[in-house]
Amino acid sequence: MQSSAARKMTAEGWLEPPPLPHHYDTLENHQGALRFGMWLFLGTEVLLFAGIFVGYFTFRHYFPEAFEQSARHLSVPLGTANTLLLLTSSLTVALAHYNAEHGKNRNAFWLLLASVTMGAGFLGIKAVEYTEKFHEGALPGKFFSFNEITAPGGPVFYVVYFFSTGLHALHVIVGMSLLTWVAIRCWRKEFSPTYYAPVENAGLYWHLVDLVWIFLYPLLYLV
Amino acid sequence: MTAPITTTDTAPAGPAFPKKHYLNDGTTIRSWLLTHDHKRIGVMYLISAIIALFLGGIFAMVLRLELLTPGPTIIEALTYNRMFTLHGLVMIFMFMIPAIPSGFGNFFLPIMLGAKDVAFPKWNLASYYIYLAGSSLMLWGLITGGADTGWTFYAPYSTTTTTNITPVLLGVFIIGFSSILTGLNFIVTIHTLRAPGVTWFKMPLFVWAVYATSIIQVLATPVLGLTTLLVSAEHAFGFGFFDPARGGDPILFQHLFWFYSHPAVYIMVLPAMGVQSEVICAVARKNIFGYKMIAMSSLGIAFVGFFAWGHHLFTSGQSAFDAGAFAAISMLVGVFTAIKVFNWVGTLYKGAIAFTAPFAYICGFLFFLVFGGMTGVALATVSLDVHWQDTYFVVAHFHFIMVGAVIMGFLAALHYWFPKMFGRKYPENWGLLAAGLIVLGFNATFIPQFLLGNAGMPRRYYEYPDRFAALNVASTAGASLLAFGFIIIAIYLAISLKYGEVAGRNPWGSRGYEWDVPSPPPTENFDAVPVFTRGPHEYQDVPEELARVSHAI
Amino acid sequence: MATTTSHAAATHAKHETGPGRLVLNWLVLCGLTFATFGFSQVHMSPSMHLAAALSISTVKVVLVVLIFMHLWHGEGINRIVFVTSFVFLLLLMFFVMADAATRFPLSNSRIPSMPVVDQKMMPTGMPPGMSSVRQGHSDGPGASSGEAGKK
Repeated sequence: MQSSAARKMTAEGWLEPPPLPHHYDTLENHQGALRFGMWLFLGTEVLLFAGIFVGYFTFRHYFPEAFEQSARHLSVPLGTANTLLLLTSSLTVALAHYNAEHGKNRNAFWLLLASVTMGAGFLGIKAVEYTEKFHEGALPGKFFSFNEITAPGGPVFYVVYFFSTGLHALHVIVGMSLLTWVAIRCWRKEFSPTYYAPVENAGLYWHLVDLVWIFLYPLLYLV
Repeated sequence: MTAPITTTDTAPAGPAFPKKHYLNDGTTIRSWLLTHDHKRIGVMYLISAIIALFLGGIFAMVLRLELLTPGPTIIEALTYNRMFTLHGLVMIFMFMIPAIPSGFGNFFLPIMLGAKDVAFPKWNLASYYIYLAGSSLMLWGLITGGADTGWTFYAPYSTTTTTNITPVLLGVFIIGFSSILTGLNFIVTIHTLRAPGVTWFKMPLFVWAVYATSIIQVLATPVLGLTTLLVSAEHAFGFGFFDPARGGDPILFQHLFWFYSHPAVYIMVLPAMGVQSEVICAVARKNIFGYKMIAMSSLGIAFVGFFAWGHHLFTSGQSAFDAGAFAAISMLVGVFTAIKVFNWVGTLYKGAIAFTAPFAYICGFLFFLVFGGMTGVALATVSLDVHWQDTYFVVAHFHFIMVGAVIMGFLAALHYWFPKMFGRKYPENWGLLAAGLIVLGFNATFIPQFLLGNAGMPRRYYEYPDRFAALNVASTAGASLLAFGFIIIAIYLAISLKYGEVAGRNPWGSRGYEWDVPSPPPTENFDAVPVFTRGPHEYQDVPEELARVSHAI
Repeated sequence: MATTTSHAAATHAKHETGPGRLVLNWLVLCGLTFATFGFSQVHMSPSMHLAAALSISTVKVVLVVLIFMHLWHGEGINRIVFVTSFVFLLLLMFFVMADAATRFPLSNSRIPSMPVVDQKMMPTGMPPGMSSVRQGHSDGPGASSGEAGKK
């Protein structure tokens, strides 16, 4: 979060690393601490989604037919497209991290931009799906009016669907914001072999978003 | 207030107050509000926590005054429901969870590790503002027609109540973030910023306790976050996740809620146990008995505490299989607590004890933890819990731990570390008097509640049958004594901030690492990276320091 | 410890995953995605479907975590953090599912709700001394059956 204005451009074409906080002894330790902190935060995100997965499995146990019927009414092509979008954006983020680690800031910038674009594509497809649900009446709780789900428990499936994908979409938006901010810093050539932690950490967050979707996709769309 | 009293004439000249320290390093409001110094952040947390303690205490007094008579006394039923919700939420989320870890932990963790600050100082400051924001939202919701569901928000009442519950839930969600950030910060600090010589088994036991607490905060709080979101969404949009009429499962709410809230009680008690370990060595002037066992048992409590949440659901319709499993595991936590209790008693044995206010509080802690803990094991027995669930027996049990153990630990920490944090001593006579009042008042308040609960008086009830009146009056009388004790403490500590006798670097003669730095400490904590040559809590085998040790009066 | 962290961080920097490995990982993940889709089209019992889907998802998650998120060459503590969070997720899931599976059947969720009780069989009136307690639902069965029962 240091301003790039105060840092000088080095001969290799990237800015020198930001000043080390006074309580750390080496930049390497500082980066390791940042990485560790991000992994701890990812652990909290895993447990945040844990609750909704528990809800999914509980209500699937109570209303298996409704879950099966509702899954058949979700668009598998769209869901698969979303999965591939997120997997590819994970690849570009990982490549961006590799490039930043080697000081190739402009490459990293374009790769991050690609990831953000794919994230936007994901959200676009989700918007299409949500609109479709709205028109069908396949909505959660008291708004449910979808006649094609004949088994009891339809409203409950859609509560789980909307809450889990909604919470996930929120995280996609946060991830896109993080990636955009880091991309701007790449444009300013801030990263080098000694300092690349923000790219790595934003990438880790984006990978987590991908991980959650890897589980949501088969559970909601396929089984 | 009279002029500070000097020590005995065989001691050298009174200690000098350091010229530059963290309190006068920048005196503008801006330097406090935008500080990165973990000590200032710790002090701000403490001030907020103490205000929350008094606020929660006021709500408690309103409740106890209402319960003076069997019928309506001073408030009506809906207000009574709001009062116990307010009392629970304010006490738990605004005081108990942050007070010792975010207050004293923030202040002392880096110093005890030989570090100059926590791992992420800016996130530390952010966590304090997030705490303030969440607390404000929660309080605002509670004041503007707030919740009457109890702090446990059980569905389906919480999802259908007409009271203004959404800001309360969102406030709790935001405070949860603050808790997660603090825990995250502490874990990274302990792993990466220890000074040379401070290996894992050379860390003070307070650090071990805060470490275990931070692990719980990081793992458990997100589930509470999700649960509050689910309840708010259902309340606002009628989703039906927890509503049986729409196919939802109210017991699912209880599972998700207590998955956090049971480990939460260990978030509250573990730091107090850490304080206990620190203070008990200082007052007994002895090495801790069984350092490794106490350190490991802190982690053990944190771990096993996650497996026990179903004991809150014994009478809710949970399956018998789950009930049996949870009952057995809940009792296991008692093993780790017992290890600590025996080790603390072993520390006191053949110690050179000075009866000071911190010692009075750790005695109270020891007794009340044992009795509160034993009633906890009794409550974990499913067949007994069927009789006691939702009665005052449960209320007395958790107040024995929350007040009898945790708040005693908090007060012990406050008195033990007051000289270090502010450079001045408090008046010991007043300290002992207040401690006596608090211990007496505590017993008078909560022992009758055990009897009430066993006799069948339900909790959260606004009216009760006449036969319970005498015990209720006794409990209220005790509560008044307790309140009086707290007020006295607040007064003499506030006065001592300015007029207390200058403490010097180590008025207790303690061997804790934090007593090596001046009182109050400088902003940087250490001029150079410290090298600790002794173990934590090491009183024997190390030669006595040259400086004269003086007790606080 | 300060020294161990720097050593681990240096190890992390040396064993980096090159672009070739990353692209290969991506191809495998896409392949597994199609495999998941393929399995869902095959005729199997619902629990087999679930088992297959979860197994493949787990493999995908492991690949993303180890290779994209660099945990294969990363510091041990980060691995412990991630595994621990999953362990606690499983803990929550296990006990809640065990409850749902072994509960007394009539207390499970179902739609419609519990069968409507015959109004005439409801107890009439409220217990003595409780009339001052605020009533949550003034239009519940208790109030209306009061009149019916009195007749």
